[in-house]
Amino acid sequence: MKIPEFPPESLFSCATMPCNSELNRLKAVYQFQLLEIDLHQELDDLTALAADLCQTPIAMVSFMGADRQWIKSKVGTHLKEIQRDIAFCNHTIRKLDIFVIPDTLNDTRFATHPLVSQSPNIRFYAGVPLTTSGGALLGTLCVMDFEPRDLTQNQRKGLKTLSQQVGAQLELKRNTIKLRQLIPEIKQLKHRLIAQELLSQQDSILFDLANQIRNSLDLDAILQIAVNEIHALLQVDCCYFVWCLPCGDRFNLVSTHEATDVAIPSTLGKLSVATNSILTKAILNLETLRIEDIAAPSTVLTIEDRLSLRQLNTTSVLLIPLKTHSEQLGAIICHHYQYSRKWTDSEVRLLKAIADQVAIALDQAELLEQTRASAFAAQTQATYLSNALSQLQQTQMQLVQQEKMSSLGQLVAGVAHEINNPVNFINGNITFANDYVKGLLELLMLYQETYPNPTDRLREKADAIDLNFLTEDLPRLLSSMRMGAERIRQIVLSLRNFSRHDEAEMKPVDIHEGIDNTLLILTNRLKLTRAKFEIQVIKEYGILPLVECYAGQLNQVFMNVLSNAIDALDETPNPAITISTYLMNGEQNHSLEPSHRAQVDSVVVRIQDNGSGMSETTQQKLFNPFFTTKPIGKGTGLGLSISYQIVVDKHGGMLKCSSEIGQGSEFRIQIPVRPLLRSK
Amino acid sequence: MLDEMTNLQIVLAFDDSPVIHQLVKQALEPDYQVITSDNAVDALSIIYEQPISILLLDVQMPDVNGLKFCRTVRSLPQFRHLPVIMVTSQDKPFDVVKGQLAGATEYLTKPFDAEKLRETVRRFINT
Repeated sequence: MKIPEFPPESLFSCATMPCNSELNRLKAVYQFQLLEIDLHQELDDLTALAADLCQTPIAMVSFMGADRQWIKSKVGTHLKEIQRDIAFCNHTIRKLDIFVIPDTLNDTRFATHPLVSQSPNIRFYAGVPLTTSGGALLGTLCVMDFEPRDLTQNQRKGLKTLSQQVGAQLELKRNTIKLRQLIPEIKQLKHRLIAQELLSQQDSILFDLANQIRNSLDLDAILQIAVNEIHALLQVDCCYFVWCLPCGDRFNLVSTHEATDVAIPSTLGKLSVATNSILTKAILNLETLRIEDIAAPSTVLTIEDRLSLRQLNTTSVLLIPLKTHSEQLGAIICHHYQYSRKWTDSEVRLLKAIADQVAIALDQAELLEQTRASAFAAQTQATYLSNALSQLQQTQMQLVQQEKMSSLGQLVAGVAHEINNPVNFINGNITFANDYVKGLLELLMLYQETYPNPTDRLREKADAIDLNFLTEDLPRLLSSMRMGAERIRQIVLSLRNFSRHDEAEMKPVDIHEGIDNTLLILTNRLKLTRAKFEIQVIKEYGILPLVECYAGQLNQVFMNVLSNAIDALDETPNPAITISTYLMNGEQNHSLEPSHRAQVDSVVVRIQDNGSGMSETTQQKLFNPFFTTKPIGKGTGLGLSISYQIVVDKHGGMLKCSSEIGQGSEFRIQIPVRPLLRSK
Repeated sequence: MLDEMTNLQIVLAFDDSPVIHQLVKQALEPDYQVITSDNAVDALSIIYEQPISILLLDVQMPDVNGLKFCRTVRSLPQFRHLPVIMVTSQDKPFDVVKGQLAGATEYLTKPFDAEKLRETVRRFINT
């Protein structure tokens, strides 16, 4: 609705009151005349209140035009207008005060009046002029009745007050409308000011904003700062960021960050525009979209474009597209929803610069995420490879050892078998040889007794072979040979026991026997160290039950631990190895779960040496495969690693080492009497 | 856990919640072989070692979240085309976009019903 500055000429064709004041009054009436459409409810309420107050069937608010009275609100009548020259109210506006006609028939001025003499036969009238605060006289508020009567003082006062209320309502409405008409102008002015301000400070604004955006590597923060700042800077109704995301062969626009005025509905989510809308096309072609008023005639916008923009309920659009190096497409979009906005070149330039900064920030954020992901991938790949390598080493080690043990076992078993037969010949025959020699010697003595004077030839021979010594030494020699043969037999037996090549299953064995066999094999090494000492072996054996285990493998453990102990004693004066064994009750075994303790007794073998001891670092790596402190070619670094596997993995036991430099080392082997774990 | 004899396609569900593991198994077994994991290193090892047909990924997890894990998988050339479905309770527009930026193939919002999960998995496994 617009309020024209001047009313049309027809309004002024007033024959009744052609004067200046009447002209001004008519101008005011015309201005307010147009307001009543919006004011129905308010006026009707006041009119009804007037009828109630004065207890009359009829009440109305009317404006007085040049030649007629326009009824704007009414109760109890259908009249829309009355000719001015017969209107009661014409008298009221001249009087400028409340005008009352108690009985129209008794008043000569009105007795013949058409509204009195004819229907609706008005007998009572009371009216109050309607004036504005500026003094303009617009019309009246009046009440009428079909019976003669009068108003009390209170009713008169009330009617006047109501009339002032009607005037105030009309004025309020007029001022509101005027104000509304000014808003677009003010907004345009504000936008012009902003544009000028932007132009003058563009560089510093951009610098500040770029700083804020680039300070963060968090996508969420970057986009929110950007839209917030643009919203505040350009004073737009809404600024938001959309992603243009491929979905099959189409593209969807998804708004993820927005800054809007409170009353504006949110844009967040998938935009309700066609997939080939002008917005999508602009983003895909990286073209700026700059529309001042979508309703205004334009050659740029097709009908479809307008339709798709209308779906967003917008009047004015500015879209700045952006593309990151990772090929992500998006746009910063600004909207006005009620008024058009002329987007200035400086605003567009600024927004483009901001969009460039946002694109760089998005690239950086994406790069950071990708770098993190790659680092994580590399890290996990390294872990994976390291695990694989360690497994491979274990497997390799097992294979090497298996192969070695298998060959060694075969060799030992073969050699033992091969030696066993000849040794049996010797052992078997040595008794006979002993008897034969004994017989022969007795025979010789018999000869000597029978023929005390041998021939010269015999005497010479006896002297040559030193017969006296021979007869004395031969039995000792035979006895020594028997001992040697017995030793060989023992060694062969030990070798066969040690290799236990035929035993793949767990069997109950005597642990002490295994230790003794191992010691026997190592006898040679125990006899003389490099420092020319004999190693003293102190056995402190407890009473042990038979232990269910892989005997050959366990012997291998004793062999490895004892060999290491002998190596450690190479340079030690008065070297000694103490081997102590005892049975540990399950209840004492704190390394076991409480529920298992009662079920499991273990045997413990402690092998101590008084050698050079080991550093902390060496102890930490002791059981690692391929770790050795021995010179190249002397140790494989597998012995203790395999021993650990045999004791811990295969027997469910424990192998621990404690050592101190200069004090010696102790290896503690603990094996459950009955197996806890099944062998792997 | 794995049965080499069957020719079922393998679905890996990486989620820190055992409840979700159970739900996924209930929804997809016995049509698919479901392997579950609650930590990133194990999940990656499984991806390396098993012929995974589809990866179901939770977004919010301690240490390594689903987005980072998805980027990690995508950074390995052999898994560039592995279908990855984000299964998450976060459903804001930006969450979905973040999933897409990280390389997710599809975004499924919790709570999901079994039929919806089956339908989604079927869609990506058959294509």
